[in-house]
Amino acid sequence: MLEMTKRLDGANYVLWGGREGYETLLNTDLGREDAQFARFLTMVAEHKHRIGFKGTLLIEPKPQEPTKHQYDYDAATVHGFLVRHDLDREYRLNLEVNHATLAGHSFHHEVAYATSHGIFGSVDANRGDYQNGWDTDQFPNSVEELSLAVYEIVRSGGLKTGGFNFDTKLRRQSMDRTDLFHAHIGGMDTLARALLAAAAMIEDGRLEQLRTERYGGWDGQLGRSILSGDALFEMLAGRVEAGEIDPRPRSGHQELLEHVVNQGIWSADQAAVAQPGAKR
Amino acid sequence: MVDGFFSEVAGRIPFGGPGSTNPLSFRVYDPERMVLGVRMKDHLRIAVCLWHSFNWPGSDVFGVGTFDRPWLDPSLEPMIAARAKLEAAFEFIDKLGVPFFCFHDRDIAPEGRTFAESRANLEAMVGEAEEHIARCLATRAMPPAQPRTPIRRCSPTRPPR
Repeated sequence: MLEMTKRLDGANYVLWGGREGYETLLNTDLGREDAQFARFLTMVAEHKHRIGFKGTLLIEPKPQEPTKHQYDYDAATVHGFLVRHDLDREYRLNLEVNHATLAGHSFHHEVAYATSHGIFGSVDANRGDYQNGWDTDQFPNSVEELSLAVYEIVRSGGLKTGGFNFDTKLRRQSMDRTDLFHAHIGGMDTLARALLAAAAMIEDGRLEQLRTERYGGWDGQLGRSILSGDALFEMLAGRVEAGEIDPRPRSGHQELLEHVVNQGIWSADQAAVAQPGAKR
Repeated sequence: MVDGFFSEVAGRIPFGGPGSTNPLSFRVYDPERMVLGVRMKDHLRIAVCLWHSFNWPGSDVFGVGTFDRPWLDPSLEPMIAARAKLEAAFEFIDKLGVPFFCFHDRDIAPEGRTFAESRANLEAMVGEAEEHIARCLATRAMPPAQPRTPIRRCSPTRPPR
C-alpha cells in the first residue's frame, strides 16, 4: 500500500490502529504488544525510506472501539510511545474530533498537545454525540468546537502535508444521492467559518498576548536561572527567607479570554457577510 | 466533468455567499478567498473519504444498508463494481471541488482469492485512480505534481478468518 501511495503522489499514509489494542487482559502480554507494535512501525518507517516515499506517516489516536482498549489512546499516549521507541521523528498524528471526545478530551486539547510537541499532522474532521459516547462520525457542524482547534493549527504554522478529511458518515435515513453533497457542503462551510474565526483571533492578538504575559516572569533573571538548572531549592528557599522573592498572584483572566474567543467567532459572522466572493 | 451517478447535481458546486438560498452552494467556503495571506483551500486542504461515503451501505448491527450504492451489490463482478464505485467517487469529488481524497486499500479494490490476486486488483484500480486524477486535473488546471492524496488504510488488511 505504501508503494501505491507513492505512485499516486500521496501526501500522507495513516496507520489507523483500531485493531492495535486488546479485548481482554487475560490473554494479553502488554510488554510484548508494545514492543511488537513498535517493531512493526519501525519496519513501516524503514520501508518508507527504502522505497523513497516522501509523504508523512501518521498514527491516529483512538481510545477504544472496536477493541476494548486501544494502545493509541490519545495524543499524549502516542507521543510517549513514539519517544520510548525512538520513532518520534518518523510519525506524526492524525487527530479525529470524535476520537478526542471518546478519550475524554476536547478536540482543542488534542490539537494543542500535538502542536505544542511538534507532532501535529492531519485532521479527521467530524463530530461525536455528547450524550451517547459512541464514535458516530457525524459531519462537523459546530463553529465553536472547531474554531479553537483551527486557531491552534494556524498559529503553529498551519497544515503541512495534512488536511481536513471528512471521516464522516451520513445518518442511515439520509438516502438521497444529494444528501452526500448537503453533508459535505455543510461541513466545509463550518470549517471555513472556523478558519475565519481563527484568523480574527490571530489578528486581534489578545489571546497570544495574554498567554505570553502569563509566562513573562520566566524570562527574568530568576526564571531563567531556574529553567537552566542553576538554581537549587536551598538557594531559592534562602532568597525567599531573605525577602528577595515575594511572588504575587496574577489573574488568569479566563472569562476575559473566553469572551475574546466569542468575539472572534462573532466577527467571523460579519466577515462572511462582508466579503462574499472577494478576490475570486 | 463526468455526469453519471450524481446527475441531480449539475456541475461544480458554486460559491453562493452567506445569503444564498441554493442548498447546493457554499455559503462561506470560497476556495480562492485570501485569509491571513493564504487561500482558504490551502489553509483547509479538504479531503473526501471513500470508506464511509462510498464503501458503506448504511447498515448497522440491527439492519441492512439503506443507501443507494449500486456498486455494493454483491452479485456484481467485483472489479466491475470497484470501477463503478471509483467513477462515482471521482464525479462527487470533482463536483464538490475538493483537492484531496483518502481511501483504504479495500475501498478501491476487491480482495482476491490469493494475496497475489489482491495485489493485482489493487494495482489495477490504482491505475484507474491515476486516470481519474489526470482527468480532474485537466479540467481544473492544477499542477499534476501537487501532492494530493492523503491516504490511510486499515490494519490489518485482512479480516480474521
